[in-house]
Amino acid sequence: MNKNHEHYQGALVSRRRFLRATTAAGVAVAACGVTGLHDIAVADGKSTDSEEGTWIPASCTCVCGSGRCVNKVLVKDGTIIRQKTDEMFEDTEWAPQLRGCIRGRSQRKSVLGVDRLRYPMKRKNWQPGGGESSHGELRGVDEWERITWDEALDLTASELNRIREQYGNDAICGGWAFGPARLLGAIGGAVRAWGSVSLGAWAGVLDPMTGTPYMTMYNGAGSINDRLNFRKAKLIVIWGANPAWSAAANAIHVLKAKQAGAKIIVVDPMCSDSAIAYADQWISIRPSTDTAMLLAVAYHMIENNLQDQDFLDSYCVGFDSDHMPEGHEGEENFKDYVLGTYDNTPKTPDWASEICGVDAAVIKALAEEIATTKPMSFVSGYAPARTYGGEQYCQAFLTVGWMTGNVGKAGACVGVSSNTNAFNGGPMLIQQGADGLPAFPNAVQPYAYAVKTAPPAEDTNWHGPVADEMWESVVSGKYTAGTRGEQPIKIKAITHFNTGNPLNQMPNLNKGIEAHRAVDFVVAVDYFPSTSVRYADIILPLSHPWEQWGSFAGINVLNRENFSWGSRVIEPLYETHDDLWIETEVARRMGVDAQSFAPFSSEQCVFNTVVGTKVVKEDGVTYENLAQVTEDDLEEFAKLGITGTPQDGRVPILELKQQGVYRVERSENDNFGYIAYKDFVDDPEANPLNTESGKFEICCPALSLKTTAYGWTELPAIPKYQVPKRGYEESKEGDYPLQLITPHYMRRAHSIYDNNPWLREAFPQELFINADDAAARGIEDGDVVECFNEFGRVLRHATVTQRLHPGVVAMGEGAWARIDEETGLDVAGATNSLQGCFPSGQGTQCWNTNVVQVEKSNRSLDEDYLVEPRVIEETKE
Amino acid sequence: MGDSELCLAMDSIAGEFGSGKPIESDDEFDFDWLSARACGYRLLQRLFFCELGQEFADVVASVDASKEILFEEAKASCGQACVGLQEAIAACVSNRDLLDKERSEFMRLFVGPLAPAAPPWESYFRDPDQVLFGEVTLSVREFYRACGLAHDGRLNEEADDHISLELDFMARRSQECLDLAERIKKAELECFSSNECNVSCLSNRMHTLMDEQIRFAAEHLAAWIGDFSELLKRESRSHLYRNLGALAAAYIRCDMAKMKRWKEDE
Repeated sequence: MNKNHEHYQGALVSRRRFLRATTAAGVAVAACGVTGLHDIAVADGKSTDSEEGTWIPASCTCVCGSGRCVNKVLVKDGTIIRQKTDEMFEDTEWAPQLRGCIRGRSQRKSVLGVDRLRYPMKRKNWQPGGGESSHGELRGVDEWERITWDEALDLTASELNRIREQYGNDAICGGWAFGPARLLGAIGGAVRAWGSVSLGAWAGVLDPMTGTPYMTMYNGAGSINDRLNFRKAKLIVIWGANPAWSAAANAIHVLKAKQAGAKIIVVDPMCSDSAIAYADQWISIRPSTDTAMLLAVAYHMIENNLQDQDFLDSYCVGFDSDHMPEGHEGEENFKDYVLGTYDNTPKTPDWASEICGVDAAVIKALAEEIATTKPMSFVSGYAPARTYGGEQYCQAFLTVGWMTGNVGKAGACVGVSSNTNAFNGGPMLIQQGADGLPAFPNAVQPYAYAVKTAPPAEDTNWHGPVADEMWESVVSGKYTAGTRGEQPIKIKAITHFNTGNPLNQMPNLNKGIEAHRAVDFVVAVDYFPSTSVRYADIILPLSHPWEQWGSFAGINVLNRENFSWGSRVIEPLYETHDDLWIETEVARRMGVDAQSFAPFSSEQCVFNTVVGTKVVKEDGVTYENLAQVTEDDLEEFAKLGITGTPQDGRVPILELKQQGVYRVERSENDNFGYIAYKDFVDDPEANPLNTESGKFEICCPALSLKTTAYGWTELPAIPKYQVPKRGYEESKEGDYPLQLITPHYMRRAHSIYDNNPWLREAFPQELFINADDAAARGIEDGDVVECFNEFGRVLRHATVTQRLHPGVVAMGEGAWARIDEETGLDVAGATNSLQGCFPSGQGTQCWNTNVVQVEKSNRSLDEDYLVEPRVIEETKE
Repeated sequence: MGDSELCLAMDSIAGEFGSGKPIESDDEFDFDWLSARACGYRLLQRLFFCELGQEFADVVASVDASKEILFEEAKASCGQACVGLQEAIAACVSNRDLLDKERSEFMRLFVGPLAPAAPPWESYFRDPDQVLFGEVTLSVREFYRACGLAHDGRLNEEADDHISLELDFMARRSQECLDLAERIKKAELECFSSNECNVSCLSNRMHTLMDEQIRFAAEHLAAWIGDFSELLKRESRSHLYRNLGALAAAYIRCDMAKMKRWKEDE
């Protein structure tokens, strides 16, 4: 090469200058998390882990309800290599392995996904101060800027302070009543939506009718037998439950019972994956008509005198005129209602068949079979009670079960099975300790999720709408407050601290977007850009439980036999922080004393929880500490700033941490079994139920009074079929001829994991439609269809199937809504896009009572796995 | 090395150049290439590092970027994208709205809070499970480590395979190569005999660094920049980032060819 020297000289000087300038020019906030590389000493360059890496117990963070399947993560050099599930325990007849399902096993795809929230972000056109400057109309469509934590926390605190001072604490909406809400309590309270949510009407019915406290015996676990006892049943009737999707680890308990000889009958609008796996018979029924069918089952039993009259006479009140509860003699009894004495309508199988779509012959056969097969287990899921006026279903279900006398005996039970106690009832064999953080009661809305502490309707000191009315109330400025009727409300801020994804998961999603656009300020905390995050002004990124030393999701006893302690798997990604840190920082900036709000660290919370955890002793009655703590252990923990005292316990605490799981061993004749209501059935005089009458209440005046007092619907004291709003009857008359059900779907646990690419590919958010209904609309399998009603319109691919009752369509709940601003179409298929505001009963959300129409669409729609976060083709090398 | 330190270091280097001593060009070093690529990688790195700032836009707008960053062999395939890029940046200098738009676009494409439209990580394109902080991140981290480098942040504060970090690797190494070539040349000119050992050391170091860059480009950067650029072309709503993607892909391709040729010539 022979180039001109002068030329080079000039070019080099210029380039050096350019290089210097490009390197030096100011950087406000680094968008890439770190500025660049630096030289390291060779000694630092060694990997600290062994070649193979280390297996660390990790939590399965979803709320599917299965009860903490084993989840372990291989970590090498601070990086997650892969996951595995249970290989700690032998897979035995009595103790099946705690194997994770596809959701737990694909968690790495979520935690490390490209759509993690990385930095605090601010919506570009939002400014504090309210009114015009908030540009609320741009929520969900605006652009974003990255800001620092200090900026984000200062903005959040100052704006909440302004609203609190200007309008009062009841102008702050705290999403819905999940999570501890300590922050909201500490700042003086906030409005939170309440309701029975997942549990359906069961939460408010089981207690007055059976005396079983719903939540202290977790989610109805007191009403059914334990899993080994199910193996003694000759017949198991499963009404509206699909554990294969909604409590995957527990589905095996039913399979084991089947292998032990039980016949399984499933009543469901859908021939679910569970039904495919274990049902001998699928009774296909229309949604929200179960009560009619149950009344006809009762009718057939009465007509043929098949009911267990001794049981009804001895253990129940309200079946007939001779056994009415004290003080209610002469009022309507169940038998006369069924026979048509009061309304001249005998609730015959033919009568019911018209409504529920089940052949009269099938109804009769079921009545005969359950009345004559002993022992029989009669088990309901939550879904049929997640309906308009779902209380009536619960009443009818329990009553028909009791008519067979299958209570309090081996292999016999009548109750509700779902979530972690699915087919495994009884008290917790491991009781979780408390984290020790001080409580900050919410002065504005002291009532929490579910009817465990729902507002006593007649009380006048509570505020806050039921979930159905929450978004409507933000827009309209009023809500229903029980016997007080309509009350004013003026929400100016919506906060999503530690409260899940309520915009997506509460009814009336499109109204929810309107509500989010109407207020001065929205702040959201999350791991991912869920629907609630999309419509926020300030986003605070949360570290995942895999990145925390331990957390609510990390340590939890939900399954009665298992304890699971998830450890930190990796360092927190990007600038994320945990809930306690975020809430403490906001609280401090709002004038709360940080030391009293968070007197100790997240690590100490975890330690407290573990050392406070008790495990049942061999006698099945008394409990001892699970964790043994020595002085040496305390020295180890002191390195993390954790303090404690030595204690005796079953397992050394460090061993417990390393294993991550402790399981109570079960065997055939151990003392850990459970037969619901056995004490009562064995000796009703000595062990009366905690109901008004001391017996099972087929006629339950307390339930009637309580329910009616909420102000939406009147509930008779005995089970009756009342035509629900948005039910089958409306589908026959109006513009929306199809009934929509919204099952818990395998792709997700509620809205968790909707962004997981593996799950998006394996389980597209499909619209299931019966083949006849599809054919009538010219719809073929895989076609793009629009499903709509007056509340919204979703775009989906149709899955044409014979596994669904004619006239019914189904979509899994929980997909993260994506509303197209031009057309208003929800292209993701969130079921709440189609759900209106129809509160009923004791604040029961009617997610399985809805009517829609479906039409073939000429729009195009990509497969779910090709959109956000998208899957790309493999690189061609 | 922090920004300010780096700046100081470069001041001193620039000072050497500015001393007026003529610089010989011969078959050993192609200073056009060595100096252009140092500028080119740094420019690319800075543009992928964070959203465009006023000050940085001014810097880019005030020069002829093509002249500064394009070496002879890159002119044909990179020229158009480079001009397009500079025009897009220059347009922002006098138009605050446009600058704001580009800043938002940067967030939408590369940061979030919604899933980034063009995820700027090698992992996204090459990890078999498409996760960040997985095997690809680890192998990039190990590559840095073997070269005596690590990123400035806390572990997991950023994935090592973020484009800005991978470009920082190339920018750093290309600048070091330029410096080395310069020092070798200078040593040779001044007094070869008293510096013979020094020159051979410098020369060895130069070879090591060049080898590292060839391997890094082959194993990492060049293996995904094409796909990334394609995605950016599809997803970007701005000329700036479409051109930036196109420029990065073409530039790395040309530089890689050139590096290989240099290696073969040696």
